[in-house]
Amino acid sequence: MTPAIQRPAWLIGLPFFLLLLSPSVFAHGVDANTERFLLANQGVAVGPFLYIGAKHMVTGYDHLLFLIGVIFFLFRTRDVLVYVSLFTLGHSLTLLFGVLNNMAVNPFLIDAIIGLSIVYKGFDNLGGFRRLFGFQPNTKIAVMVFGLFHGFGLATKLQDFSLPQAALWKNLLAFNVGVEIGQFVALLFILIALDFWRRHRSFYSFSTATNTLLMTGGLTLFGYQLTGYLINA
Amino acid sequence: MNDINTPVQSLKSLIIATAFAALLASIILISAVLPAEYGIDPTGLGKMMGLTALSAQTKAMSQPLAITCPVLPLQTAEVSDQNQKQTANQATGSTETAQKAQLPQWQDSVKIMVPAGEGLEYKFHLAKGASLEYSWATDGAKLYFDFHGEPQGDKTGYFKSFKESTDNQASGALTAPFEGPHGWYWENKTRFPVTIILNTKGSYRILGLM
Repeated sequence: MTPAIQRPAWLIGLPFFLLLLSPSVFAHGVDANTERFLLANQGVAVGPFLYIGAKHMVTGYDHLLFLIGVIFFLFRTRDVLVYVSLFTLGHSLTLLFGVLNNMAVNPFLIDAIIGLSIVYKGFDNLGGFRRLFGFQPNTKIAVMVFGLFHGFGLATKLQDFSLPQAALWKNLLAFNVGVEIGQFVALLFILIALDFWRRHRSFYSFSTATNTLLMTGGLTLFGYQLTGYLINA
Repeated sequence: MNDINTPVQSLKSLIIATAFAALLASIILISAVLPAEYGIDPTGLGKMMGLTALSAQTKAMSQPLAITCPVLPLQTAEVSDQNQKQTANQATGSTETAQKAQLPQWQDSVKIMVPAGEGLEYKFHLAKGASLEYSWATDGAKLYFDFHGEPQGDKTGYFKSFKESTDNQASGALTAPFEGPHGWYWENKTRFPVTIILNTKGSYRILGLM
């Protein structure tokens, strides 16, 4: 029997567990229904694009891993806001710019760089740059620059579908706003979880392990995407 | 400059962390990700765990088939048109021979793979009154299908169904009642991928897989 106190935790955890199992939760794939909609859609569709953007962010583990890395050691709300805003600014710029100018960026290479951004943040959180090179690269600029790459990644997802050129910017803007909503929702959960964890000593004793795993995740994504690039080249 | 006070790890623990991350990432990549995503399986572990099957099936694809004689003289085309209908009607058993015999008469021929347990659409854009003659057959298994058309620019989700059934082949001709995308939705309810060969001719523009 499960003790009574643990049950609510189970009930809260279950939907998340199911979410993890659902086949649509593969970063970067847009699932079959979304794909069908995007290909058939001919006009302005603010609601659907909002939703697709938000869903892409909430289920995109590469963006989420990077965000976890960025806010891992941010204890003050003000800092979280500053860094997340920089990330938002970065990815919005390239998302809008990339789609509107029809820039063709190789999705595999972009996703490989996004993988590296996670490796960078994990390494940075271990104090790697200060130890090895004796200086700390400006973390704000780094977040902004990697934000630019994440934006190109988002742009390639939309460009997979030949979006109607008429009123393109409306759909694009809806997608972008959706991305921010999704990011906000995901951040909320990450922050709550981190905040809980920080109250326990295990946060500090496991912070090295966590950032090592972050690097592992980033390297795995990097290898996955780079292989994709090589065999599809 | 930096408002973050991250603990700086010792060189030793930094090296250990990086090496461990690289090692773990390589193991995950080689044993699971690459076999499942791309069918690259140097250790054979992926095959043992059945992961390589994923890479073969996950992507729906369509591959245009070369047509040896796409343009036919008008008279021959008319004659072969009738032949085609006869062959198509008989073509229940051995699809391969039927299809070989038919190939020269068609304008386009495409091989479509429907992954196990999934559905997909393949469409053509037709103007109002345009004709589409077709014949398709699977490699054996029966698929649920819905042959339908959607009026151009319609956003209500309305579609007109011309033929809906479960079979391993179908053929016929359509005169489009309105302008817009027309085509098939196939659903593979089996546990294995099914390949369809779709032959078409008429005045259309291929929209392809959806």
